[in-house]
Amino acid sequence: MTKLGALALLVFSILAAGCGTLPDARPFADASATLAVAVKSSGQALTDSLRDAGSATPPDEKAYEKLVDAFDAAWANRVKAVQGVAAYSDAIAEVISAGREGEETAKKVGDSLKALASTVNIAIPASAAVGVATDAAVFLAKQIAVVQASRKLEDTLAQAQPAVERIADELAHEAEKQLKPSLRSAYKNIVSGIKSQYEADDNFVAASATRLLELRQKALRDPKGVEELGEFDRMKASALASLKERDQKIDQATSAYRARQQLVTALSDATTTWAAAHRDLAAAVREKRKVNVTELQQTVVELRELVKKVRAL
Amino acid sequence: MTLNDLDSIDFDELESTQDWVKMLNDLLGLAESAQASNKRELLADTLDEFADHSSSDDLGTITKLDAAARKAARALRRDDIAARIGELQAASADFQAAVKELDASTSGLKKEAAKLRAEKVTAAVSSLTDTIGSLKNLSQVLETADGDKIAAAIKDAVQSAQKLRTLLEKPA
Repeated sequence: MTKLGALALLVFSILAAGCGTLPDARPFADASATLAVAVKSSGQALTDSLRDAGSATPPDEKAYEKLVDAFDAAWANRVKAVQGVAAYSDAIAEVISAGREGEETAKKVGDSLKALASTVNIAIPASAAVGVATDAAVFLAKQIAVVQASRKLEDTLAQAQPAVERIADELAHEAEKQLKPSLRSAYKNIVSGIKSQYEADDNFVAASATRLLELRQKALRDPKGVEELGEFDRMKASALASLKERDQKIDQATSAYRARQQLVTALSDATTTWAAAHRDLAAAVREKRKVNVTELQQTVVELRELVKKVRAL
Repeated sequence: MTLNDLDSIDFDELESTQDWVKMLNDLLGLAESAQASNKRELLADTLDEFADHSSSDDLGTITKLDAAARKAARALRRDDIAARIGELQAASADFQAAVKELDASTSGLKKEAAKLRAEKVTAAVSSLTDTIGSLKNLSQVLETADGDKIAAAIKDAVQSAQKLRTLLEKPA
């Protein structure tokens, strides 16, 4: 090869690297879709687990049914939100696959963001209604406007990132504010209900110390008291066995509660991981490199493991 | 008691069944003012703590008080307002029924004690009457010089005994 030919090849290589090709965003969209499926099955596992727990205290079963229904409704909102996440991811993958830039693409991404926000129950206001909108809605409205004003695809995705993170935060906040307190109340009522069933034994054991001392003294003075002491000891042993059964039930309820809380926390973390994967996608578009969704996929695997754990308890 | 006092309750200070009755009465009285979910949760937790800590030789009463406390605790954790109010009313009714039974048995015990006291007073009055009679007889048969002094002393004793009997015979 002549020197001129080598130089031409070098220049071509540099130019080719500079232009590069857009990454395949399908793995991101696929991982997001898998996340949505995992969230849906998590909700089913949680409601089943709550229903089982409620059956431990028959007098309260009706109340638990209502609680499970309320939790189901709250979870349905979460499923809707995460399906919105999957739909948004799919739309972004399409946009990247099309490889176009400009006003139309920016509008598509902005519209997808609006649709995602609506699945998290954030109504993006028209500018005139900004005064009555929530902080999140106002923030997203402004950010979407920035996204729609961008013309280069990498800018469009980079500008979408703050909006994506805000939506992920809203989802995590909703889990802390609504789902976790609901699970905590259910757990406390389950424990209260279990304890109620053993209250008489508990009070007997609590009051037995004084009586036992009296009976022992009596038995020392009078051999006839030995029989009475033996009978009392048998009653106490029976009550203690009953309390052991109670404590086992409470331990089981506590383990199940912890697993449920762990699952809800993992779901919030998964949303944050999804937002991080979106950031990586935007960077991959800018750097013309492969998208890394390993962490998001790993999160889904962890979710599935937790669902199994909740079901097993 | 107010909702702000809930954190500082020391259940170990309560001893008698009446102490526990008063505490539960105070706690149930706060249910209406506990509207915010964090306040309801705090009151519910305190009611469960009440049942965890309560203790009395009167097993029947304390177990009923605990049941009412736990029922109210679970009611306060319900999101459904109608269900919550209904269950709180039921818990309150259970508490009132337990207190009524306790009052009835306490009043029964008081009556029993009063009856025993009356019987003892009657026995004492009867015994005093006998003593007075005996002393009077004795004073009539004393004939020595010292007998006059003894008779006077007996007279004083009789008067004191009569005074005591009069006092005992007065209705309480």
